[in-house]
Amino acid sequence: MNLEQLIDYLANDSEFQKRLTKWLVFDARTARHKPFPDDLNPNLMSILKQKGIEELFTHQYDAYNAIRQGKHVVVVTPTASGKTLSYNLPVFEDMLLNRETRALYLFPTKALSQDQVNETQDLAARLDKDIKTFTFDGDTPVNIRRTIRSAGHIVVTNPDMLHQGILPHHTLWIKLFENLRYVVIDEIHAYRGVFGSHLSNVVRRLKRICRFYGSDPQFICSSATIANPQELVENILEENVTLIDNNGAPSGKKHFLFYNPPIVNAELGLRRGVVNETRQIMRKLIPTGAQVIIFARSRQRVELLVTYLRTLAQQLKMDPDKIQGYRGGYLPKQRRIIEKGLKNSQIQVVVSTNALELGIDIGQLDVSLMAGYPGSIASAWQQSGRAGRRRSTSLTILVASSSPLDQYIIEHPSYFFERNPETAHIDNNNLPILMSHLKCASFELPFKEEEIFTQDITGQLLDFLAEERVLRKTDGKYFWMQDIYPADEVSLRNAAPENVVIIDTHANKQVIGEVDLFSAPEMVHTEAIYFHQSIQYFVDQLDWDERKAYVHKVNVDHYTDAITKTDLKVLDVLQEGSETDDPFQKFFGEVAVSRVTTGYKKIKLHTHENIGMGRVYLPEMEIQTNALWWEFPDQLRSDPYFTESIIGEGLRGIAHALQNLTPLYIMCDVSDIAVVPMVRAPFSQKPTIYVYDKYQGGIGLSKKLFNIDKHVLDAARNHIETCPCGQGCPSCTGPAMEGGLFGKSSAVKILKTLKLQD
Amino acid sequence: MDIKDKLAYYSAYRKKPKNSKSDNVYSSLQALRDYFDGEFSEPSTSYLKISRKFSLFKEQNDSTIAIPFLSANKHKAAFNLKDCIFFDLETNGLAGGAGTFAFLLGFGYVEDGDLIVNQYFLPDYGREYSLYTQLLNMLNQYHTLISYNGKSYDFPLFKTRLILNHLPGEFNSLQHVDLLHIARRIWKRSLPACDLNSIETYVLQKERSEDIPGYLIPQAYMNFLQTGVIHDIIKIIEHNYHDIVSLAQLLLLFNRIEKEPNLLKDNQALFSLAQLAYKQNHQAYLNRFITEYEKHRDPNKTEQMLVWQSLLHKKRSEWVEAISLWENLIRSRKFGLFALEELAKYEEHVVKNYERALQLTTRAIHNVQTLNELHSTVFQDDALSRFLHRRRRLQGKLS
Repeated sequence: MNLEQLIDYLANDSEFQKRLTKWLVFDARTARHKPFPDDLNPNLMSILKQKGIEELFTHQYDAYNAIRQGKHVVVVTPTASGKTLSYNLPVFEDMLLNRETRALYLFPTKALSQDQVNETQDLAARLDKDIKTFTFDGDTPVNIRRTIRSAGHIVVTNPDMLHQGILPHHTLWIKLFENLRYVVIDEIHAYRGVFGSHLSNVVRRLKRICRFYGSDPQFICSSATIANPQELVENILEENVTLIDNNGAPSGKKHFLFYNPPIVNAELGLRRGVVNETRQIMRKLIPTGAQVIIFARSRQRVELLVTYLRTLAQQLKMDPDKIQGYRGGYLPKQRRIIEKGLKNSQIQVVVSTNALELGIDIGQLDVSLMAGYPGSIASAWQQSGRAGRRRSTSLTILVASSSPLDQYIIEHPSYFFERNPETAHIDNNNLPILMSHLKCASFELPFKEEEIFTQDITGQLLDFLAEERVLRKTDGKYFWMQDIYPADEVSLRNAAPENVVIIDTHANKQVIGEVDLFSAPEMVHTEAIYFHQSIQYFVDQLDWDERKAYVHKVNVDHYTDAITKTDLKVLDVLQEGSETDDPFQKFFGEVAVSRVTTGYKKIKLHTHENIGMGRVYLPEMEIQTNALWWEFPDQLRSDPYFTESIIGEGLRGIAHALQNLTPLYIMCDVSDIAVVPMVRAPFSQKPTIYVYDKYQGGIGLSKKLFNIDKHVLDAARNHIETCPCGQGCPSCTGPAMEGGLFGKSSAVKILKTLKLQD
Repeated sequence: MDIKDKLAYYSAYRKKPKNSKSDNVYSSLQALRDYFDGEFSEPSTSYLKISRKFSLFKEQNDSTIAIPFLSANKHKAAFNLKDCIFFDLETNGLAGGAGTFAFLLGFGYVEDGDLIVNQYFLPDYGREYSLYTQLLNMLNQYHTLISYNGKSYDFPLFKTRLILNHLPGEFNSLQHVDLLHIARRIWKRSLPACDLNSIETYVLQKERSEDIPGYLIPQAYMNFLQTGVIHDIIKIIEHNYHDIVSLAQLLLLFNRIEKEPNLLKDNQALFSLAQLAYKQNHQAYLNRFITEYEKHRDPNKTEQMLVWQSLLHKKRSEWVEAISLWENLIRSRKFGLFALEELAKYEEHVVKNYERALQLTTRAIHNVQTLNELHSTVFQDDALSRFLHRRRRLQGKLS
């Protein structure tokens, strides 16, 4: 059965049809070309012809011209539209004329850079020119670093390495910085929020170092389709940027299916789980032989799905090894094997986290299946773009979970055929971030008194650092004067830089993977069942001090789910914002949040019933951040309906809805904020809900929410009230079993006492 | 919130600075000058120069330094002591990178049997340019730079400071001898660490009184900048001075050890040098060490040296010598298998006596299997599979 037949088959499957809320068809688009530019180097031209490229796509042509005119550009194109050529072409053109020209390519992840190196090395080899490309990242062996520093024409790295390994040691990179003509930033839409605010400051530092060495590079960026690519890039670079978005690449016909799993419990409004539903759909897809990529939202889900699908493959008398998982935590070598297996079709189904969403070269597959909404429309498009060989038909299926955001999207598919409303924002003047980079910049080069790093306040900030004895001001300059290496104290991604290594004690103490320190207490605590390549491992011991988890293979009928406890302490109230006739009070301030994993539940595979528990003893992880909180009126307690436990159920319900709906109002990930309900807050003894930024120092999310809080609270009330379920469901106040029987009604009642409408 | 409030908020949960005394550093600087009888640079007082003399030789001494062996052939040619410049920096941090600043730069050279030590103290940041221009001119007069761990620390840092001051950072005519590398080659087995401090105590038998430990130096300089208190700066200047004196003494000591390795009374050190001789194919040296060991020292260690010696003979196809060594080693617990293997290789590949080679191999297999039975935990699987492989091949050749 080919893909067209599969699509027909699905269209005629009435069971399947019933689940669809929308079947969108995007027509095929033909290529739009322009001839090679007149000034293109003849050697380059013949190389391109050799590679079967006779003309440029319109966006490649425009990018080439704009870059040749010296402009900073951002090229916006979908997946697989030849965007690498958009920047390789002008860069190589220049390098053929000028042997000293250098370029820096930045990719958001290490994995992405590998393909790029292959691509430019291929170009250089075909040109028979000594244009050297090197990857420079944490894995680069020390003995070749010296060569890279002096002889690398194109240095491929990531922002983290630029920040920690290159800029602070700029004197070792004179050749690069003196001759730096181009800085390529790929997948720039990935840099929003915290990461983007950091990147923008790293760019400030980069430009400063370039000025010192007398260079003034041009920036060439690429972005997926979002609403404000130009604005985002201009904010990050603090430069005027030319937008190139006339995509000329062809695309095949695309079917985009919105699939809502059936309600299994009308009373509870519960829908069938994404994992089970995906398995059902795959039962139809696998026998067709179509190559499928499944995106799952968590590492654990990836492993669960691989396990289920391998069992399914066995039932279908198929080689289970044709089904593979792919996620962070697999070793690079393992990943390369999987990528290759996909390209040469030895692997039929890959289940991945968003690790494969960005441009890692795995070829184009037939079907992209999203097991749950990936959290943003831009991501959904990128994941969908993994399916569809050029000019041939492709199929995308979005399977919604019961989460409020998924349910909202599945009911509003118009976002996918109208303009994408999502805007990406950064705040490069977020004080903790800005200060971190101001320190790094001071370490790299002393600031002059009149120098500008950020508009208006550079001098005040530097004076502050001088008072704090971080800098020393003398002779009109600020000098670094601490005995530390400031870049080591700043992680661009707010993930702890340390990892916990996972060691299989029964296989020659082989390292099978790693987990970041912050996730380690939940993923690999002692006695956890850890899934790796869908094999179950039992964690014998988590040696916290050594950052090592010792595991061995097991085959049991359950997995574990960590129990994590959160504590929240108000450190300082910075703002009170309630109006006089508001029956509740709202605050914004500084809080300390500590998280600790105290135990785990054993959950039976397939039935998901709880079959046991255990305790673990691990240290707390603490962050200080900003929070918004509402203290609800005392009258609640005088109403006989509101017993302590009913207030608790209501608050939990409100928290559940807020947690999930906030990303629609403030561009962020569901996991960027946390919502914590407390029946009696230790701070005030009142029923309270806290919303805090899950980022050290805060990133302005809860602050923004503070200004539009009534709007969001009212939306939550509306959403909960109009939800068709009985006593609460995952789409509104959370499953009734967890929220209690009164979660929904109590939540609505509490929200109504707030008199939200003016 | 305006930026002041934000900063107040930002600093609220950070460490509060201590109250600093007045920045009246200039008068302390004068006190420092007087203490060491130094001089300020003219006209801008950008640094303090201190010049001191240390008597290096008691009697007339040959001033040629030759350390090809100890430097593992990195410095093949002999050089003149007069052309050496000793150097050591004290910095405001130990992390490295562009933000690390050297506030005290010590240089030493030899003149008429004396070591002249010139130290340059920078009383603040931002005053490097004139000093570094002068140092560049000064360095051009020398041919060999001598340091301790300078290759990976002091010298790159020095270059970084030059680049930051827009001065040329290339030194093509200067060879750099890092004494740490030599010290490691000699004493890596004898000492837990080969830092200059340990070497001074253990080798030069010097004790420093009132020395400031290296890790306190950055903080001491910060304190000086804030308070002008010179107590610790005096200690640092002394520390740096003694470092440079030790550099010169060590170089002379290495020069003597190169000629007369038996000066080393330390068996481990001598053993390390024997290994170095082996790695450098230096038969004459190796023989000296073996004789020395057999006569006076630990005979157990001699076996390893004999192994090295036999391998050197093998490299030169001096088969008679090699075979006699291997035959003696057959009964060694540690090197018996090695000897059998080498002999079997010789019989198989050199004289092509496959019968003999097979006998030796069978004997080795028998030995390994016996050993494995005796110590069931330490399997010599690698050795065993190598010998089994050899036996199969030999049997093939014979059939």
